[in-house]
Amino acid sequence: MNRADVLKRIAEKAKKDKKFRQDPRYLQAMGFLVAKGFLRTNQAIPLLPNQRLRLTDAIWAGKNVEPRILEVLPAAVLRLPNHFDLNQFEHPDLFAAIEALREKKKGQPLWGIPLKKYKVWVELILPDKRMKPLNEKKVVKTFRLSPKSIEVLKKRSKEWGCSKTDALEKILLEG
Amino acid sequence: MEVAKKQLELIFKELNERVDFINKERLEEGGLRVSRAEVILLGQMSLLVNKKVSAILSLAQTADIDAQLDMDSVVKKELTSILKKYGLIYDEDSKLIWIPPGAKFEILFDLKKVVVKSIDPESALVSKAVKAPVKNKQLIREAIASGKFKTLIARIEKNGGKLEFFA
Repeated sequence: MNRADVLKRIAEKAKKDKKFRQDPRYLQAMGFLVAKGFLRTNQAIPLLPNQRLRLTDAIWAGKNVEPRILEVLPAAVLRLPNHFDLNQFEHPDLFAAIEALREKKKGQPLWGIPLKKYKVWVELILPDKRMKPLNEKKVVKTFRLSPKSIEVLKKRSKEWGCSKTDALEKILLEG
Repeated sequence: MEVAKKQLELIFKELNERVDFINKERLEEGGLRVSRAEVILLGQMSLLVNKKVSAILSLAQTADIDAQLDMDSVVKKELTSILKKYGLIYDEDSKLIWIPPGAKFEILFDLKKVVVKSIDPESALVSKAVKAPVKNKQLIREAIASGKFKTLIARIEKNGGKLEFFA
């Protein structure tokens, strides 16, 4: 291929890229990831914070239109599982990557992206304050406390104007 | 993209105030003032804050900021914490970003304690095309096809980039 052919092909592919940016698979993936704060863009894309995404579509958009979608996808699936149709058998590599993120284990590169690069987005503070980074999420634990301890908890929570859980945490963390 | 630039302005104004505060504290304690900080924006953010470029290219960005920092460690700590508040992360690998020869830097914000510069858009694109072509394939194609970056192709080739990769 000579230089003129190369430039002609680049121009053709740029046209195809432009068309791809109107594809619903791309618009839905970007609309969701931008709405949730994983990505930012200068494009006028309708925000879709409640969208449920087909992973096959999101991966297509990442591979064919905007590679940054792939970089944030594992963390997005881990943190917002109800918005994706993750299936261990359909997407085994993604599933393994998410497990590695969840268990904080060593993981393999995914779609050529090293774990170090896609791990960052697990702890990202998102504009929607309801979505806490994984390391700040509360974990359910059951304890059997004596009536005396329960009384102290009740008293403290009333005194401090907070829930019993918050009172317990305060006692544990602040002594 | 005006939103990105406005957000950056807020971030660096806050950093400027914090540095001022640190200096006042140090002065009271008889310590040395921290020197003026310099930030050079690289990567996607340098393109997003440029109004002209933002009108030509379709840009997407993760929440990380690539930038060369020349500042005291205490100022960097403050910057990291401010960025976090705005849902952004400083990419510690920024120092590995290759800056092509002939790059120019324009001042974005000239504050009392912080100066923020940005690499020129064409150089940012050359860097991406040569060092991270896979992640930036579509972006480079769009930039070349736009014909708005006069020496982009020549600089990509001169610096070892493969034009065929984008074809």
